[in-house]
Amino acid sequence: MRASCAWVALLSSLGAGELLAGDIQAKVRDKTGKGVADAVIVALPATPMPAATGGPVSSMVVDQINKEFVPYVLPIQVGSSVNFPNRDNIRHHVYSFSPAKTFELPLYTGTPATPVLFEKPGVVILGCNIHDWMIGYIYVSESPYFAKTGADGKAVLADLPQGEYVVRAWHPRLEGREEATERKLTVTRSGATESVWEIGLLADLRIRRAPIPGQSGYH
Amino acid sequence: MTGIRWTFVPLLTCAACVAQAGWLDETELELRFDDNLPRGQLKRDIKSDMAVAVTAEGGHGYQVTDNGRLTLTMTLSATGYRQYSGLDHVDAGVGVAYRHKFGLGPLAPEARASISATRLEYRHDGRDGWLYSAQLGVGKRLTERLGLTATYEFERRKSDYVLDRLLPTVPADVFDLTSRNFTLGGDYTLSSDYVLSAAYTIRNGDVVSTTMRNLPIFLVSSAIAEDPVFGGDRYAYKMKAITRGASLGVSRLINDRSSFTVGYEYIDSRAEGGVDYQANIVRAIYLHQF
Repeated sequence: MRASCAWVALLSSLGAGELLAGDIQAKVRDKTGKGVADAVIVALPATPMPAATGGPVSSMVVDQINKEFVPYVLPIQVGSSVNFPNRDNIRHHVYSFSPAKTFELPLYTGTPATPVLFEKPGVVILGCNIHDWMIGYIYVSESPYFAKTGADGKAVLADLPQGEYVVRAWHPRLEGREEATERKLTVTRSGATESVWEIGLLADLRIRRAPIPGQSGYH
Repeated sequence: MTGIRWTFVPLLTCAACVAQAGWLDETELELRFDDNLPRGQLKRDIKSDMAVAVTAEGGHGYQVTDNGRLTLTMTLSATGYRQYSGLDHVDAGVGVAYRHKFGLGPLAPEARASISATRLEYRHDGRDGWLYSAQLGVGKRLTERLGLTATYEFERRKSDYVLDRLLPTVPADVFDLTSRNFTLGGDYTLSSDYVLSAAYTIRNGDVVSTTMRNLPIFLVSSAIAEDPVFGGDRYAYKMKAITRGASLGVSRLINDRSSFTVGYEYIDSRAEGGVDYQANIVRAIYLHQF
């Protein structure tokens, strides 16, 4: 009797749903069937979650290495903060014009003292005012359940409480709206739920780092 | 080509030193065909040739303000011609450029000012000298795909030697040239891998061409001197001209560090006294950035 009471207390402290968790195994591929890296898969519970309270959800990092943002795509949850350490031996000037977060970190080296807080969901496009080809993305998710695809186009959203979810895929070059990728999935405690997205990708027409003759290309 | 091969040695050695210093920025290999190298008017004066050029550029940039960048560069290049080896030359230049961006982001307009001085060492000593350039330019990227620039340049070339006068009353400083150039340029991203670039230049100033003995041309020339580079009984002459040039290039972006470009340039020069010439230049350029 004493033991079963202890289990009840443990279940209560962890939350029963946490123990009855399942996975979503997602795969994103393009129209040719090739796996798409850097896609974000987000699962929104069909039943709205209670609003988060308290301090930042987590603290993440987007490095600047060899005049590139690393990682290229970073998914975070609303309320997270991100630091932008400059690992190069030159100064960078990081900014974003995106409605989800407008900010500017004027010329700096090293690590800024204060991380940037992301309070609104949406896509935040990062740039460097010194190196115009530098571009990075922060996907600010309203849901705590998300993952980013690897080079093989696969991602796992692990330990989701069982239930109904609206799941969607996003990519920096996604053709069409993110909402168009939505689908309903059910997570059960028995095994993983698999789902495959086939998405169209827009041509990569961003400003290029590669030098072109005649341009003042000294970086 | 023995001479030019030896001139490559210090050039490449120097380029290697720059690389070890960690600030070699770009190298360029260019293959160029010019169908009117002497810039001749008459068929008998027109000569074509192929050239190969290697260029290394290094330097250092200083971000002096949030929007202002000062750049110091050093450029070394060597050019060798297949047939007219007197034109083989090695150049060494230094430059200072300041770029100011009016705002934040890649679409912000920018202004640029630069000056440079380049030492020219030809196999034919008469062409040795200095090339000075001062440029003012503005640029604006209208979209991520399309960028436009406008540049004004003042250029002055000063030769080391005063060549022997052919006629006592006519100067022989044929390689002392001054010009003002205005260029409109643009680049357009065609696809993930290809960029189209185009430019149109109007040049107002001295031009130098080479001809066989030609009295009507000599009468309107401001300077005349012997020019053995293109053979015996050849004379370089200088005159004022309006030169228009249009160029088009397609670059294949090989990766983030290098590109391969094929380009075409048409030059039309109209000088005083009805002395005109045209030239067509085709280029293939491999550019690598470190």
